[in-house]
Amino acid sequence: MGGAGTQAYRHLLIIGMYAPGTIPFSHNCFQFPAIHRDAGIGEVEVMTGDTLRKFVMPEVIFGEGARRQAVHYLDNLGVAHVLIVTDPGVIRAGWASEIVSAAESEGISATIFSQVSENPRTTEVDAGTGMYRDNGCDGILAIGGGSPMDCAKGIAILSTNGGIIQHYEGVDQIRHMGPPLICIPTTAGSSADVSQFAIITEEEKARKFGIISKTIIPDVSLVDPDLLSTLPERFIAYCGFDALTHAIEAYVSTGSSSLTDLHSLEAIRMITAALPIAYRERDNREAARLMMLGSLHAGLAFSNASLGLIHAMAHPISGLYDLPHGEANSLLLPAVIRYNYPFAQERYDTIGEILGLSSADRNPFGADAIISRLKELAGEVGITGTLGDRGVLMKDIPVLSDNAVLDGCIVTNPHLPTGEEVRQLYESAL
Amino acid sequence: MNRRSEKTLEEQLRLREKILGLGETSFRKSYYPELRVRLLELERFRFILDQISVGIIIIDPKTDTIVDLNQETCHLLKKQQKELRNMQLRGNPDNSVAWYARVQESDEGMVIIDNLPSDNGEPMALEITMHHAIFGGEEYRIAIIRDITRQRSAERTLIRTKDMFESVIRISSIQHAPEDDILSAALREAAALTQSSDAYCAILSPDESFFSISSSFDEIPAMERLSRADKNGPWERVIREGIPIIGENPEGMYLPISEGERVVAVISLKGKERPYDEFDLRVATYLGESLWQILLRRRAEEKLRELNEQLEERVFERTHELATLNNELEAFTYSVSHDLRAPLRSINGFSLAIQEDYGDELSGEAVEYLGRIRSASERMGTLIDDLLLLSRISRAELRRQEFSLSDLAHEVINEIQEQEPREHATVTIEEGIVVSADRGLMRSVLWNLLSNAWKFTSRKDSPEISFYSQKDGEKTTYIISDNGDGFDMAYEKKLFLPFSRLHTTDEFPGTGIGLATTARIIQKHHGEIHAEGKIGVGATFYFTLGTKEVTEYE
Repeated sequence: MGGAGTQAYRHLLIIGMYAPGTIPFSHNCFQFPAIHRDAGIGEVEVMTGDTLRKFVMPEVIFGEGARRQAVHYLDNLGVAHVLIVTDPGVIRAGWASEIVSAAESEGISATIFSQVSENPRTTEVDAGTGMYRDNGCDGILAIGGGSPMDCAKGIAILSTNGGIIQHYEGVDQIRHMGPPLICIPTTAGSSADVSQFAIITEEEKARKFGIISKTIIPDVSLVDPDLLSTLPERFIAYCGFDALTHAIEAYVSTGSSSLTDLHSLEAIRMITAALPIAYRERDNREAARLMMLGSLHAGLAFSNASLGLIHAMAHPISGLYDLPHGEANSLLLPAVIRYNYPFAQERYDTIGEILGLSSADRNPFGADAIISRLKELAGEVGITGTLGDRGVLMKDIPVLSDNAVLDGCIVTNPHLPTGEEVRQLYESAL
Repeated sequence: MNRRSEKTLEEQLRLREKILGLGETSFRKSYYPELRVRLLELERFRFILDQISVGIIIIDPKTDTIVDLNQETCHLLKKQQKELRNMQLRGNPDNSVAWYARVQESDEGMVIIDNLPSDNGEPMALEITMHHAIFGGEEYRIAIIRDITRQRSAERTLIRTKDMFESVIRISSIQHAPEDDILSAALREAAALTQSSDAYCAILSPDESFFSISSSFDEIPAMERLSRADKNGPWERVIREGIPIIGENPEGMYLPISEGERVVAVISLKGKERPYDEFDLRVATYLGESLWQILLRRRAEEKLRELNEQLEERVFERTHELATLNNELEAFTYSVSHDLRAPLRSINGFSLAIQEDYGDELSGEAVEYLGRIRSASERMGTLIDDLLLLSRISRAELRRQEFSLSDLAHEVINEIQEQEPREHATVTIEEGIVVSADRGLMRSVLWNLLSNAWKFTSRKDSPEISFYSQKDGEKTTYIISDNGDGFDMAYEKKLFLPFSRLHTTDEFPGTGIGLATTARIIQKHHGEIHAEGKIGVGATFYFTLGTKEVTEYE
């Protein structure tokens, strides 16, 4: 942990100074003193020479009982009729009805939309938008995991921009901001409550597509560790590894900055420490708190620094197979780290240090040491085996790698792999 | 790297920038732009509300205070925005909002306020309606204020115009009344239309030396009815200048009535409470001019009626005279003819007796003289018979019947042939001519015309006589023509007069009454007759016969 502070300034890079194809992305180039400039509440731009960085996040309340602040925010944002986007599991746990009765006691009408599957679909976004309009809603509250929150973002987009959600695929395609959006995560993983990403599934084409825009960062995120108590343990594991992957990829991302580094490293530290305990002891409130906080940090980091090859490769898999996102991430981690290590060696070593590798092994640790530590952690929460064990087929690899190369996440990977390299990586993860 | 072109790499770099939030549109969610757009829309709507010519006030019914209002409201109520906003309306002594209590009391939620002071002096009228509205869950009252000054003024004008026309109709429908009564009735109407107490009319005499005065009230004594026109009062001025005077005298208005270029009368009105205005002038002028036209028409009608009466009287007298004369003449003709026959018979009888009894004793010359006396008396007998026939025809009743005129013509020509046989005569008669007429009288007609033709063709080697008809639409003309001696067209009219002969008896025998009789018969049938001829070439007689219907109306 000792080197983390100094390293925060160390990886700043200049794009375009090199002839393309020689040394496009590397963490070990030049080092500029960072200039911090206050660019408004919740938004700090970091200027380094000719490289700009931005940091955007919602208003966040963290802590046990944070969810109860929702009604105040609905009131302050002037919402008279809120659409609550959630899923059947959250309803069963009683969290949704708690919000509804609190809202109604304040004179705010509430309509619940819960037809959200694990990977939210375009048809679900349409249905939610219809419900939003039919009921004359003027605000959205999402409570649940990544799926309801991404679906809520889709509804927010369509309710003010119209059209179909596929139109907004890609980066910065949204013209009008949506209505007020409050997110209450019930998992410690997706971080959709703080991110600028929404991932939607288009069933007819068996694909997932990403919507990336600062305008879909929620207005408010209420991060309440109490909500983890009802999450099945399997999901503690998947979500934990999802958050851990976010943190690792954000840290080695070529879009990282000192601001995101702080959050990435804090996330890795908290999650590795808390995940096995949270998995084993469901009533351990401290572990739950750390998991929730770690996930939040990871979210803040990757939402601003973006991700890398693991996510670029995981997205096509969950488009083709119904495999939990966190699980796919954890199974891709070893192969990608092995590939990336030479291009961000110091950064990976710092991660290794946080993962608890002794300093004797260091200098450098090498990819294998880090990978085996992560595999060990995965084993502790019941994630073992390979992609092949989960039903990913050899014949699908060309399609998967073609899509991975086009995925937006790939552009901030420490090194840009060729299609052939991506294919080999899938094969090695099989 | 081998798979990626340089361009693709650049695209990837740009994508990376955008993901990191450095794209042109990578802005954080902010409600400000949207709020600004909405605010602009609201301000634009407010601007529109301020442009309309209807005052709108939003009132909180709980506190009876003005919540909001548009610009026109200030204009209509003559108040500033800041004075009206938040103004308490219930029990407010301010005159400009006194309507509030009234409009709430009224059943239809509407009041009209009249006679409000205004900038241009014209009294202003406002219509205020109250509505209820719920906005944002709160109940409000909306007062809508409309300026109906022009509408009311237009209504008043319409009513006064209608009254004016009704007045004129009333005046023009007065019948069987002296001119003075019409004048004072019209002046009363004029006074009522202009809210005046008195109205006068001064009609200028034709020589322009004096006025004849009428008034809307009691009759003016005869002594005061005439006024010299050489004074210099307002009437004289109006006559001289031909333009009305309004308001010089605060309670009077004088206006000229013209006939063409000439001012013929002056109407004066007095005693209106408010000053006379343009509309009063228009009403009074229209009424005055209508009155003048009515008077002129009445005068013309009166004159025409008198003339008609005189004419009828004269016609009656003359007709009576003529009838008397006619009767006398006919009686005379009859009695003369009748009374002449007895002496004539004696002359003829005794002349015959002398010839038979004393013929041998008398010289040849004496016998010849006796013969002449006899033939003269016989001719005279014929003459008397003809005259009797003519007078009988005049009095006879027409008895129409259908018969063949062709057959009658044959009959007549055969008789003529028997009496005066001729070898080389060609007579052509069109067959099948059927008429509805008096057969006895028509026989005389054909007898006269055919015997004339027979007579006047006697000197021709090959005489030709024809009888035929010509149809022209409904009208049928019957024609008898010959190739005889004819006549001079200059005497055509004389042909049909009694005793007028174009030839001597020696040339052609005749009494000169035949054609007059013929003409009388045709006339009695409501037909027409005329003749064409040329000396030495022939004569043609055309006649028609009136229809049965015409005859029956007789």
